[in-house]
Amino acid sequence: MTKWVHDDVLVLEKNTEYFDKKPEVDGIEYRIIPEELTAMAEFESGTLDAIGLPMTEFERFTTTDKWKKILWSR
Amino acid sequence: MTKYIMILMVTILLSNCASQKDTNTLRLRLSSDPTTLDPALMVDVVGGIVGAKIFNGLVRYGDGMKIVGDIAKKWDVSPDGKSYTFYLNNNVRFTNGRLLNANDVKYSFQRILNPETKSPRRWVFKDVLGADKTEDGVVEGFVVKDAHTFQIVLTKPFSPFLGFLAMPAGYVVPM
Repeated sequence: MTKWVHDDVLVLEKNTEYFDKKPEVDGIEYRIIPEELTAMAEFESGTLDAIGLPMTEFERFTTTDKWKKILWSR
Repeated sequence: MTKYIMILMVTILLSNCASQKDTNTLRLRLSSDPTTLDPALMVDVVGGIVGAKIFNGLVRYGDGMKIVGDIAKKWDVSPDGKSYTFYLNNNVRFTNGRLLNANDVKYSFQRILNPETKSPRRWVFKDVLGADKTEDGVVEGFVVKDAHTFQIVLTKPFSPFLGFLAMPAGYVVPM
């Protein structure tokens, strides 16, 4: 962890000496966003790379060509 | 349980916003600030999400909820089901650069049981021999056999125990 500003942002950096499979990204930037719809808007404007989809947005995302290809669930 | 669908943006889409992104850093959201990142005190989901990226335990959950090795490359369970011997990978480094050894595991687990730590997860290790009579924080059932061999002795066989070790309370911190 390289940075933790409470209620704002927490940054992790990859451990280049990790004993197991090496991380594929240089790090993770977690932004603390309590409001789901704010996070949704950030994702759509391209400032978040991945997000949990709220139930209310399910239909819109699963029926839009732009989004339905990148939905992932398990 | 509320059903969530994860959306992952692929690299091609990411390149569309190159002006905002010039590093290979994944940008994600947390719904709240983690209450703590100390594995002994961690109980919230958000803390668990971040903690899982920072710490490792002896074992972890693999595909299909199967317990697989993490810091431990393999382990034996004694025929009476009371003794677990873990053989540790010898190339695990803390982020401070130091190599992990069995004493760090002993320290981390004793720390959970030590009343001074006030861990809400003491129950994870309650069946370990001597769990309720820690003197100077030392627990009889945590045994360092050598630098990379660690043994846990239980008072009675308890098959879910290995799964318990995959919890944040089972993460190893540097002593």
